[in-house]
Amino acid sequence: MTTRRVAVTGVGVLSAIGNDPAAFWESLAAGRPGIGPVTQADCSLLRFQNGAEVRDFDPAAHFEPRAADTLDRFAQLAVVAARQAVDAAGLAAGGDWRARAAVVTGSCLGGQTTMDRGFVDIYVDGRTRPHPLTIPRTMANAGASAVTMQLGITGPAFTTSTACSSATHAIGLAYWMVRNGMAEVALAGGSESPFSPGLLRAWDAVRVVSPDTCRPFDRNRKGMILGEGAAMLVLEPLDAALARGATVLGEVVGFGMSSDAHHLTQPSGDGAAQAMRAALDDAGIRPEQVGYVNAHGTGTTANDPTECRALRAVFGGHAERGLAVSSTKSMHGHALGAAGAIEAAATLLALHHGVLPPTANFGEADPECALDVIPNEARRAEVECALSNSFAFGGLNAVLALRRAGR
Amino acid sequence: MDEHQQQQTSRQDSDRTQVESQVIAIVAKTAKRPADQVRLEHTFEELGLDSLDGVEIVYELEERFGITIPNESARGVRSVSDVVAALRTHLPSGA
Repeated sequence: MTTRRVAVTGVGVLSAIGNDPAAFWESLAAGRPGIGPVTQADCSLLRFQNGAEVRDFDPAAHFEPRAADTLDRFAQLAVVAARQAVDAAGLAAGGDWRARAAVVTGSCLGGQTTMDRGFVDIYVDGRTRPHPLTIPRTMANAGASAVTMQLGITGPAFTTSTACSSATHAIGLAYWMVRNGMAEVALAGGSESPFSPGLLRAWDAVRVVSPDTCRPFDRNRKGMILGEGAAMLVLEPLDAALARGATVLGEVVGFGMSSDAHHLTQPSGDGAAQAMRAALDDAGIRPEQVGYVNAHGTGTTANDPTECRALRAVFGGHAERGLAVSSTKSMHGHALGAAGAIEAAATLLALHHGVLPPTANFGEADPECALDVIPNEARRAEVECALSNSFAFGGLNAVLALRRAGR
Repeated sequence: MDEHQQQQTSRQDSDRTQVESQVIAIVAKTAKRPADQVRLEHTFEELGLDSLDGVEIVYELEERFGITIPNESARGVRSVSDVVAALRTHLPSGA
């Protein structure tokens, strides 16, 4: 089988801390969170009022009126992120790449804001049927489908839905497709738009959302903050990228997956360690080559100490000295099925700029999470390799290994 | 159930407050056991329940009593008596 090095040549991001990669990076480097009162739904009856929403997103600025009507917000975000990534990669002008390109998106919830609206129409407002586009707007692959239609991409396209690991699974599978010659270009990432009244109540019921903000690895952490957004990466063979003179942001060098086979909501730690080891093995790199981990780092009671134990198990003494770990969810929130894509983008930009984004909102260290978590201030550091961790409810884990571009 | 057992059961019921009985009923339903096999002294572990089951039990009680129990109280419950204590703290009239 063909095995090729895989470059990332374009990134697109919309998030609570910026609606394009430049604004997103500026916020990450400044350690500036985008967490505030939720505006898309009424939270007055809930135990939390804050979220990390994409702000100032006007569909009319990006879509023909009819096209905007056919798409749930999660799919609109996927399309805009994909266009940004393709433009950044310099692929937009030429046309023939589209037949050999793949699209792989991650989404946990699909167009659930549309479905929630449809249920209100039926159960509250007494309509017989919801809007006729409820089904095509809600399907989890609506983001992938919209990207293919808007960009004219005719290669393989599909969607992974593995809760909070969705986008990491999407990027990992797309990476393997490009590495193994199954696609010449891949657009991979994820998108999520979780702020519907019904879904917010369901999150309130499961009691993992913080009443104020997200403080990963802090002994006073109170839970996660729900986030919204999309990120898409352009992956292509490194040789092809260099041949066409594209700017290489970094490389995807490995992908690992595992299942806890343990519990619906409590992580085991062993599964996380197994996925990290699998990513290192797939990349053929030693733990000491990894200088930064973008942690799953949800800020929940259960995740953070378990993830730190898993990091110690994989990295040994290197976890205590030399390895920097941060959770950028402290700034862009937990964007569920898009989280892995937003965090892969953050990690690639960190490698590219030689600056590691911090864990924001950090106050007091938790002895159970006593790693170098880059508290509150970004740090200049030339790092060769980095991991991006995603661990889902249901115990499904996915980890990407990334490397900075050769100099 | 003979007459003696019936008397004993009804005496136990009257000794229990309304709150305790409701908690036991909901814990028993969640643990898939008959209510007479669940005691206030039982830990969740003894009943084969975990923290997610605790969240489910507290949710049922919130709906039944029409109250909201904060996360800090709800996440800490590890026994039937913990649930009773969490509920009592947040009931309006200290039932």
